[in-house]
Amino acid sequence: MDRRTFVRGALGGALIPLSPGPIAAQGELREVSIRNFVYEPETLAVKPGDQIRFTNHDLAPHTATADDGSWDTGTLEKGQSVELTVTEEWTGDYFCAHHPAMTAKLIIG
Amino acid sequence: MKSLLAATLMLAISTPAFANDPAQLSDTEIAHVAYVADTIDIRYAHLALAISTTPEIHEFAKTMIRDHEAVNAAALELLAKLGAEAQDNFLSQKLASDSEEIINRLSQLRGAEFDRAYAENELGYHQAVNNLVETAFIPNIDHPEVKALFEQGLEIFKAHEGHAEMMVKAVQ
Repeated sequence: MDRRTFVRGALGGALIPLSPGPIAAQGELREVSIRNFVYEPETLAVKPGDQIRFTNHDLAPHTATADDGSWDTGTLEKGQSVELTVTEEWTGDYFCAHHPAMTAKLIIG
Repeated sequence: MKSLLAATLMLAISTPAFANDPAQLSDTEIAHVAYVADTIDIRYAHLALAISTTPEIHEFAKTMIRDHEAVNAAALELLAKLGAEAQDNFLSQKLASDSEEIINRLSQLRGAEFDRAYAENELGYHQAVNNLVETAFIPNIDHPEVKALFEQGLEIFKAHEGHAEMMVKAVQ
């Protein structure tokens, strides 16, 4: 089963901010904008504890979903944002579950 | 499966003998064509959800429903804001009638045959609609907000075209 079918399970597209886990949310706030079917920036360096705000500026709904399912924004409608806190369990490659050609990368250090 | 609708759309923009020119449609007539074209693809998607058992087909169909409904909602909102109504026209009517024939054909298929036919129809349909929007509609739309909405829509539909291409390869 490839990554694109793996991750669309129980979350059902809901907005689910992940719990901070063992790392308290003391890091920096980073921004990822989804615009014209592109994640901006396409590569972002983050560390556990950082918060990432994903904002969808497109008319089409999008997600940001880890390839291995370790994190997921759920479906973001136009204008919606969600903030997720990076944990040590996160992996960096992600994509849009609705538009699988949209991909980007977090460099987690 | 050849897309009858794709053939209709290509004929509309390429044949001088075609009595009615899509490029001459008004903004509200163009809006109606777009609304009908979105609705047709939503119907195809619901058919795919009902008939296909392939996960990739289901995910694609759900995306079609989600995205085309978003575009239609934005179009209706814009028309309401402008105090305008979409106007029925020759091209809307032709698209609607031709889509019935395609739905009839698709609904008789099952299994891998349906998946291939649906995927190929989606690719052909999006290619034809994108060509129509890009070459006949956007250059001739007068109102800037309507033009901007169509430009956003075209971006979405080009992503669909790419996705459909992936799906055609996946179900071969």
